[in-house]
Amino acid sequence: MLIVFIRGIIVYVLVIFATRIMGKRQLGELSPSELVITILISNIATLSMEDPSMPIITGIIPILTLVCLDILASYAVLKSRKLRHLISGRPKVIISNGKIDQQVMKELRFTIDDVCASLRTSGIFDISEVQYAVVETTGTISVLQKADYLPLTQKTAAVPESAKNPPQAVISDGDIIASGMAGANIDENALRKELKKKHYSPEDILLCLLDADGRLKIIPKNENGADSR
Amino acid sequence: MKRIIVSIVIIALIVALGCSAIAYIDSNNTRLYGHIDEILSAYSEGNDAELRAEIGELNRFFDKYEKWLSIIVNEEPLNDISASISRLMPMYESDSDEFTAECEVIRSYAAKIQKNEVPAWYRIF
Repeated sequence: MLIVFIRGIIVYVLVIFATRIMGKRQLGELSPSELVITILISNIATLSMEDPSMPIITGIIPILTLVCLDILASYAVLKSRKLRHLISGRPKVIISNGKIDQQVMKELRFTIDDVCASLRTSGIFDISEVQYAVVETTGTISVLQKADYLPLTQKTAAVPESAKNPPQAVISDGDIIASGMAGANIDENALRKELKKKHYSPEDILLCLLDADGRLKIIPKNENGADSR
Repeated sequence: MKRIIVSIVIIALIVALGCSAIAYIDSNNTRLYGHIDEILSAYSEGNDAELRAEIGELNRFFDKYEKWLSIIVNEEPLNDISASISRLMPMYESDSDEFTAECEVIRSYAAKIQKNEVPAWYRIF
């Protein structure tokens, strides 16, 4: 029993290491080969964890080999366009100017229901609204709506730009966050001075946000609601 | 770039580990065969004291060897060798005519473990 427990810890650390080294891509963004590798890793990890008669190294080595080969392949793909097309495939245009390319649909083995479902997830319920739709190598469909159906933006309405950086968390659960202060262009002394003016010390604060105009939003500990004194 | 270097280092380490495993099994198998040869020669000479000492020596040697070997290979062949070694003394004491054969079985199990670690196309496929 304890052996399986210790093996579980080892495999857990290994899988965390493997996923960290593989990078930060989310499950939905994985290419088919990456998805298969992820499933393979989970399968090998399970086998090596639950069978004590098998040396754990026979699980560790294939996991590390798959991860390393995946990283090396992604590097090679980055360097060579031909290899990229070979390993990841090419994006395919499935709708152009409101018309579905049925040949591409057949090639990709997409049904009309799949296409409609993907369009609906992009907020489009009428195919004729689509100017251009591309099936990406990950299998997701990227859609460009016709100009008439595009939502109004500040640019199209000729409204002056008013975009500001979002507020930065400078204190979280009583701890001063160095990266947040760097993002908000404030140093620790200035922050402490500002807090002192409001009769707070960092330890009393659950969350402190600093917006682009230099205003502090403070949520103190043990109190309900925001306090922006 | 850091990931690429880490990957290359890991692959190099795996290859190095594989090669060292083969070298380790090779050298320890040679010692194991040496012990078996000693046992067989003592058996053929009818030297009881030396034979008993050699069987004990083989037991101790394999206990140590098995610990490290179990990191590399499956438990099953190791259990087979272990069982054969523990049969040697009772076989000798009961004057079994399969004593020599049992020694050869141990040798062949050990050789099989060694062979299985060496990459060959028929083992890969």
